[in-house]
Amino acid sequence: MIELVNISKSYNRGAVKAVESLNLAVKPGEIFGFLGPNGAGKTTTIKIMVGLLQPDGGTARIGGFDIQKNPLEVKKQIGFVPENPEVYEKITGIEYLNFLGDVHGVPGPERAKRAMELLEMFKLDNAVNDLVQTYSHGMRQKLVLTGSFLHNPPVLIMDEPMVGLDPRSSFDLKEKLQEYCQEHRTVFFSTHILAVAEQFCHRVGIIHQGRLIACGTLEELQKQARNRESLEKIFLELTEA
Amino acid sequence: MRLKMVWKVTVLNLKNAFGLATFAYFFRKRDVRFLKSAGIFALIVLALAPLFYIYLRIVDEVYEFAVGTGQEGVVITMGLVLASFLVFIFGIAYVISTFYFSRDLDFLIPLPLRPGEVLAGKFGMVLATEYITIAPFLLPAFLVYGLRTEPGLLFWLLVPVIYLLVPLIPLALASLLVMVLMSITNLSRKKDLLQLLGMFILVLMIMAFNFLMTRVPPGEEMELMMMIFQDPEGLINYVGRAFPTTIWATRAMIYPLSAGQALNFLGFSGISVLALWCMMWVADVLFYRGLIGGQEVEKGRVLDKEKIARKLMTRHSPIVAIAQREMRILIRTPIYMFNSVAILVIAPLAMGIPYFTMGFGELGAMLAVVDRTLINLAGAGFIALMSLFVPALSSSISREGRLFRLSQVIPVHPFKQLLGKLLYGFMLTLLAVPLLILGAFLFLPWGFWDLVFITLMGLVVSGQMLVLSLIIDLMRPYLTWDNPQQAIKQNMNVLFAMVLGAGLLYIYYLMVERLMERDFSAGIIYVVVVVISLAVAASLTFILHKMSSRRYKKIVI
Repeated sequence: MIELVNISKSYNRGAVKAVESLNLAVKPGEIFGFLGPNGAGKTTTIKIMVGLLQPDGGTARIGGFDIQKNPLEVKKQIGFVPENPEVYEKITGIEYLNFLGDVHGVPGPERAKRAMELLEMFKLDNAVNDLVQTYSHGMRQKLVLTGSFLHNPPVLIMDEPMVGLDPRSSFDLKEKLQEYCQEHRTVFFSTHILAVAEQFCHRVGIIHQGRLIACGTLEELQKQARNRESLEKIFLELTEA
Repeated sequence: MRLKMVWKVTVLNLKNAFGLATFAYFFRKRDVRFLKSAGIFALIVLALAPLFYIYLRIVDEVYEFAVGTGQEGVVITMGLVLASFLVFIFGIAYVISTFYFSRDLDFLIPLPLRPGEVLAGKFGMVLATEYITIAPFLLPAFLVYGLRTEPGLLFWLLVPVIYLLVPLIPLALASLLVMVLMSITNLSRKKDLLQLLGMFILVLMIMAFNFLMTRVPPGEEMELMMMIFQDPEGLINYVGRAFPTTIWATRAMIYPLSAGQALNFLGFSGISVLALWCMMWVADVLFYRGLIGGQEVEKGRVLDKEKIARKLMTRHSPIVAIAQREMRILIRTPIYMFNSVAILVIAPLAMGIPYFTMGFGELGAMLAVVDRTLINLAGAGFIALMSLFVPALSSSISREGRLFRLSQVIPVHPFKQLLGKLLYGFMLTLLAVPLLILGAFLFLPWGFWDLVFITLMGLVVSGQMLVLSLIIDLMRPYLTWDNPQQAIKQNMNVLFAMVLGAGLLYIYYLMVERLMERDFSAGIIYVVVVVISLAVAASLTFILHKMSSRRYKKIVI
């Protein structure tokens, strides 16, 4: 469902290599955790996948479409949650969801059903008629998450989706994502919370200094490391080696 | 007041607002983007050069006239009044957004700084911008007077001092008014609406004051003329009476060697410093009162599930959804609303002030001798001009700021998104129509069907202006602003679009004039204007279509 082939991206005319020859494939029905230290290249990779950055080389394909050649086809298939939940401050939650519903062409009844389910799950229904500028960081994150599910996309791409969520919402989101994958859909998300990745990802990739240094199930990663106690130990060993 | 702290906050603001740190970084790293930034600056200077030249010629003409009255110093008074007026009027909106809506306030308020120190730092930032704004209006006045009168070294030494002092009084005054306004409106639950109304009322009051100051009571025209030409400073006093301190500054510059006139300089600089001090003193009391809690807004009604679901059912096309989003953001952001819509009230009033003194009956009689075709086309031209002055599209992408990312990831073709913005542009342009209707009631010779025809004509002519504005903003959007006002005020795209659009309208004017000279019928003239407008709009739309996908891909925030 997601295919990254030889993706490279550098900044400052090649002086800083953010991502180097990254190859990765994520299958339908899979929850893939993308891990790495700060500045490792996680957000750059995600931005390339959703069309916010152009790679220097390589191809990013989602649902069989190349983001460079068929950007609109790719964008129709993804739900995206960025690193910072920035939303137009001067519109209400409902207006934001309606805007996303309109640009994705989601029919009214379908839109209302899906949005209501998530708004209730996140306990956001009481605030959805308020301007976004009155929302806390966590509420904005919940609104952005609700919007990303609205068109029932086959692929969800999320940059640190749990940041800012209270424990209940974080738990509910994980449940929702698991349900989602059972419908043969794909979730790709970056996180710093190793326990989350350990508990609930089918596979994990670790990126360090722009290179994918490990990728596989927890068992496969354990085989690569000497210290096999936890994902945290494996992560530290691989990224500090 | 710790000056060191004020200086630190000012420098931080300046670096951030003008991208100085980025510029220096590119230079240090020998990054090619340094050359690009420098090139854009050079291009701006070049683009504005013809306007600057025209203004220089006007100042020179005024000097020539003033020589006959022996009051050449009036060119300096004129420059000083113009600069003060610009700083005061535009300062109000700029001060509100910089003092009260900057993103860095959340970072500055918790620091161990006094309110006056935070405000003084912000004031320094606005002041620096105002120095750039007034330079093209003030420096030609100094230059023309200095080069033609040859007043000696002391004059040239005073030029930088007066230049630095000029914006202090109007900006301090604007800041004081804004602080009072914001501390009052912050108490209210409907603060957005009140702030907008407050800004309108302030500007209208200033214009009314200016009108009353410059108005000559009927029957006293001769007396005034005598006063202006017999009094050796009559002209200077008359021009400078809206800002009396400018009269002192003029005297200080034109008679620099006399001891009595040195008092004028001391008076001017003393009042400037006093205005600054007053503002800082008031800031310690009022600034945080208007600021803290200022971002809080009234909560909406809690809706039951059924109502939420019903609201979520309404479906629109992506183009309408984008136009709706733009409109909502405009209406709910007082600073955008003020900059965009207030101009629709202020510009015609400012243009009309000299004529309103003669009364609407006389105005109507004056227009009766003007060719009807020309009046109708002027109405259409007015709508098109307003589409430029309401910087709806020349700042439309810039105003998205960092949220432009969202536009880059939604599955709507960039050209379609731009069509949504165009629809919004047309909707805003229509706001000029009530003014035409008012004009028709008061003095313009238009009936209902004339108004319908002129509105349609106006929309046709506006099309090219709107697409042109959009192309300019798409080529180089300013997305990394710190407060929403910067997206308009510090956005050169707005100025570029106005200059190019006004140039285009001037070409239409020349064309219509030639056609009328050759006795073409009104029908043919209208058809020519419509056909050319549509052809230009279609060509520009084709360019917009071609560049849209590429630009949306290339822009990195």
